[in-house]
Amino acid sequence: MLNRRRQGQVAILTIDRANRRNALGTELMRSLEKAFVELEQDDGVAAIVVSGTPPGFCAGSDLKELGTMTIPQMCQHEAETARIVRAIGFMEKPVVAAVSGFALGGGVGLAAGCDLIVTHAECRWHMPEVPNGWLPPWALEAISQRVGAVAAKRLVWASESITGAEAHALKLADYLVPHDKVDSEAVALAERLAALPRVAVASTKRFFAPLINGAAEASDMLANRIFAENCRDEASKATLRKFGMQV
Amino acid sequence: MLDIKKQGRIAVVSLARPERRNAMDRDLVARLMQAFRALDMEADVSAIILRGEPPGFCAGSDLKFIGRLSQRDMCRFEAETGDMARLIGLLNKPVVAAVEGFALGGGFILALSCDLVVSERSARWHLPEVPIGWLTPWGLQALTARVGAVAARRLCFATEVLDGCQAMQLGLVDHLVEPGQAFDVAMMLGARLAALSPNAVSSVKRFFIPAISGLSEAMDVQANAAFADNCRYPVARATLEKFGNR
Repeated sequence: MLNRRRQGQVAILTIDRANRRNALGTELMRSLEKAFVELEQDDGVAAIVVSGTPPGFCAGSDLKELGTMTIPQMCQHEAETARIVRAIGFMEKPVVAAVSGFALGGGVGLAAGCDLIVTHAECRWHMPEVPNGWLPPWALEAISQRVGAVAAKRLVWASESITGAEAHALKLADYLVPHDKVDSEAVALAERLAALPRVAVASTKRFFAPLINGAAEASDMLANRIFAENCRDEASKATLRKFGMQV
Repeated sequence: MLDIKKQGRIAVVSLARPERRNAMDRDLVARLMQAFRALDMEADVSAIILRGEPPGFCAGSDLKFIGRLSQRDMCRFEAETGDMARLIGLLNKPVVAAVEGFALGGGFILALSCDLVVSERSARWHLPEVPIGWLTPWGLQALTARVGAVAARRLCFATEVLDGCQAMQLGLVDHLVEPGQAFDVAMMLGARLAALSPNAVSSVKRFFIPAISGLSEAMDVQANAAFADNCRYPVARATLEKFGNR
């Protein structure tokens, strides 16, 4: 589900649910939250990398699990996921996302919630929520902070997926490296951060947190409500039925 | 602990720990959070009243409870309390605080985190955190939104205890009433709000979220970090030791 290993002062979390394309199910989110809380308190850890086992970083919400829920349960699940990802921005330790293969929907949100993003030129970045019938229920502030509101709106309309190279050009991703180097470069970056004075790294994160994450909670709450409303629309219901939801 | 009753389309949420002056421990905070979430989804509820069983509204964090926690758990508990208070501003439904007796510390902030605040003239309003050694660890955005940053800072220094009239002058309170009338007036306001279009009422709340809630989650994180730091120093340590902390 979530593999944890250490390399010096760097903790590496690897989402390991390849059979569900590393989707953000309830159990995985709990594991991620627990890991973040423990690593934040672990004096031996100075930086964290979040990665995914092949074929890709993360496919977002676990639609099969969502299919077993009611719409209010689904909204509550998305609100929990949002809260756990927002907390990354308020940790003292830097978190680097290593994004290979694909980042879809909530996978884009998870990456955007991290401090730094490493990806490769051919990686597929896509927000498929609007084609499914709804507004993404969280992460819109984090994405907007990276690319600006105008480009964020275009990404959310999701008429096409973008490549890692385009994501990098938009500043959605910070570093572009060869496909087979994404994990190692993310760890190397985390090691460089871990080698810096910890207090100064933490102060930097704390200083920018209000500017980057300050309005995210209210934004996520609003998006969650609009998402709930959108889910009552016929186009959404057709999608939800495909996942097995009784609507 | 927490008592929830429905009267027509109004849900009345009562803090019911009178033996601890309605102070908040983890259980009460969790119940409040759950109650707000559930009531916001209930179709037959249009407004929420938050009140305390006599002798007062709420005395803030239960120091006897937090005195038993490690510093880390204490900070976490205060963060959870802040999450609960911020949620009030983000709900669809209006929440009216009825303050009788006192609103102290976290109870002060909890009251003004509500959309409307009714207070009796004689109610005692005080933020006593700095005198006991620390910055108020959450809710300072809600305070700032009501009174402005300069008066908020002054209130945090806590050199004065306010009565309901002074709280009204500063903008902490929206409706000032005679002693014993806060709950009845809050119910009347709740009934008026409940008679309006729920969509229009929630649109009003949503519209003002950026202006009122602002950067509240980030501010709570910063206040919590300052609180954690403050707790290492002698005045705070003495306070916590008095309440059982090693």
